[in-house]
Amino acid sequence: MKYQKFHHPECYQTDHIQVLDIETLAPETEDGSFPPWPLHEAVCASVLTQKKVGDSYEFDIRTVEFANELDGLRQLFGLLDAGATLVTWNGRGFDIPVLQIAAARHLLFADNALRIAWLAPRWAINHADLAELYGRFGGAGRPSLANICRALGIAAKTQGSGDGVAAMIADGREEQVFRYCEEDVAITWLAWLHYAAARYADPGKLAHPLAAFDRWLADDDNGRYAHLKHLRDLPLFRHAREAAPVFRLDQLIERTERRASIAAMRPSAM
Amino acid sequence: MTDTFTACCLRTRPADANDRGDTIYVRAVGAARFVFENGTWTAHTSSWLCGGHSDPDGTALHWIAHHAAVQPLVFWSLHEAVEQAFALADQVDLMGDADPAEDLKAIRMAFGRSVIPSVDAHYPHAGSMRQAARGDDRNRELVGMMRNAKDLPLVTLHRSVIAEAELIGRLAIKALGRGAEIG
Repeated sequence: MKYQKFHHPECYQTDHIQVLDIETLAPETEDGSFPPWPLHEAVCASVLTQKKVGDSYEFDIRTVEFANELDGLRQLFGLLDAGATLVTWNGRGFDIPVLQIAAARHLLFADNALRIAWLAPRWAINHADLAELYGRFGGAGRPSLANICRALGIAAKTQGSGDGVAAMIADGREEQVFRYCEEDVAITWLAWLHYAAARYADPGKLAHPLAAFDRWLADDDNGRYAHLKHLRDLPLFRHAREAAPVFRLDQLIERTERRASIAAMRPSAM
Repeated sequence: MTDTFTACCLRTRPADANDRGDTIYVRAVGAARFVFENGTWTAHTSSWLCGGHSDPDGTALHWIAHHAAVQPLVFWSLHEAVEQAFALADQVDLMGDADPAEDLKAIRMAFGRSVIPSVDAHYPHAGSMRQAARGDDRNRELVGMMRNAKDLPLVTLHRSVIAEAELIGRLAIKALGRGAEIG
């Protein structure tokens, strides 16, 4: 054999996913550099939940305001599910330590839903830090989310940027920060779907959840997620709308053939 | 897409509560074969109708597979069509002569040949669809009026599914950027 076949075990559970992102404020540094992470305090945290139920998917995107930090932490920990794979962008290096130190500041040591992710080793399978996975744990250099999205053809950061959070808060535009945070979890989730499909060589891992997310956004009649609807115009979504049913039809063909072979084995068919 | 394709619509309704386990009943299938000839698109239509019952012989799927043969196949919503196919394939009596797997494979191949298998994928917003369907008001009204109607005379049902198949085909042509070729 010329090449040894390499099997990728499905280590990350991909049916139940929670994507987490936070926006923070920190005192400016003298040299204008990014302030050290312990100085950051969360303004809000957004969680996108994708859960497979039967052949379909359920979605939810929620944002927790940290006007009262302790209440915010409690609400956030209430949203997180221990059974889900936590997906972040640089969560291991920023989001989780920032929230963990905030929890410690409030002596919130028990009932801390992020404790496991905080303690987990770098290759743990309950937390997928996409900045590390796309950066191959340093092998490929750490990319930015905006650059990965640009490379994947995903319109990113349409609601602002992390640098502008302080200005938005100062102007009383908290809602814009929340929308920006929700957009970030949505595009991080899109980057995750690409990673999962590539890792497991399964295009269905991108197409099925994305097509379901597209329908979920389309059904949002009250405009709660209007700031995410521009994503539906991406060629990526159009591809998923067409590809997912075709993959599902392939499953149906397999299932029907299996049923037919079982029917042929019945005594009455012999 | 080549200069001929088949637009198809499959009309079903939820099964009765006292049914033996089927989830949907098939009511009608409509097809419009679009052919580009002499600088314009012509639609040749046909339909298969039944009163609305379960389909243990797999006739509806077989009819679609037969019409789709060799042609690129287009549905309004591929997602919806596949969900309907799931329910219909489960109804087929596999001890009989029906071979739904072969029909499904033919349908799958026809989707594979189609540049636009699912027209709704190209009109993600209701506004864009309405804009594209302008000029097709008669068909749009017919479809809207009859899609959820319960008891229709067969002739009306025929007109309704034909109108829907034609509308799907026209929207597919417009999504291809060839709307000017529609006569």
